[in-house]
Amino acid sequence: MRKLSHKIYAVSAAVLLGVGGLAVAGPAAAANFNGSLSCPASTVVKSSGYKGGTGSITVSAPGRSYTDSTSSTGFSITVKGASSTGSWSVSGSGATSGYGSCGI
Amino acid sequence: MIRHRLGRGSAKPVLLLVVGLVALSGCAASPDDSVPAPSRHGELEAAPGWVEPGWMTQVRQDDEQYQTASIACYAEYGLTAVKSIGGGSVGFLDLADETGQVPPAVEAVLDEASADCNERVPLPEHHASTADDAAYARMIDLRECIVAYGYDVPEAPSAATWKDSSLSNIWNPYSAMFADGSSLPQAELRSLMAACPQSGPGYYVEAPIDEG
Repeated sequence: MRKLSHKIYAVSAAVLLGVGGLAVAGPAAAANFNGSLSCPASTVVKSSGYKGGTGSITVSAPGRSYTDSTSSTGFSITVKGASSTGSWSVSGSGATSGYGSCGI
Repeated sequence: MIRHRLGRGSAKPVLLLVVGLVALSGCAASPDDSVPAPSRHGELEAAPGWVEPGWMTQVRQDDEQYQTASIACYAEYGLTAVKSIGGGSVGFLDLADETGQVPPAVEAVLDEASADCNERVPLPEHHASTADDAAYARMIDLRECIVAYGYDVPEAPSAATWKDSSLSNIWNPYSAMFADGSSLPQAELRSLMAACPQSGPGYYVEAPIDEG
């Protein structure tokens, strides 16, 4: 019998919470959620947004962004940033929530 | 690091029985029929006993057609769309400026292209699904698929709890896997999501950062 050896890279919840990891923000303006994080060096800032409307959504993390302009709904979109410190944001008429976190 | 659990000792006889029954039936598969699954997706290999539900085959085909047609449509506007990782969608990398906003001039082109492409390329039928009993059954199938490919996934909530959830927080096996901040290399995640596609109404999506 063979064994699979898939690797899931995990970061502990303690690390996430201990360094201000999860930062849920209310909308600074209509369909605009944002904040900034300083994560442990071994992790990166992640930005996550929920596309609950048929309009577009742009999810941004340090150094990267992703825009979905399809008419789909129900997408929980995550963008992994390129660094462990910086700003995250979720915006667009289709965005209904957003948060930043630390992860790998 | 999370270790994975697989119990496969008695799976081969089950697979042979399933294959035999399918061969004896001689019937054409309908979308609701279970059919033998492709055993490999990229570097991933399913447990021998895993039999893919027919809806997964259909979703995989529908998503591929939708993504290919959408990318071609946006290309007519000079926009380079990429396939999302999960969810069967398409999107655009790095349109936003340092403030996280898409510049107005870019947004104008995107709006025009999206209005046209969203009309010309209809969403796959499964994107219209709601949180009903059929969707719950597909979500359970999805969790079993991921487990069959060797990954640990938290237990799913009950059907009643799941159906009562708001769509923005509805339980999804992929979201549950990565809720603690963990992740997979994106090439591996892409293969897993090809093997175990999502049918909605809630989708876990990652932006591709190292591939198109």
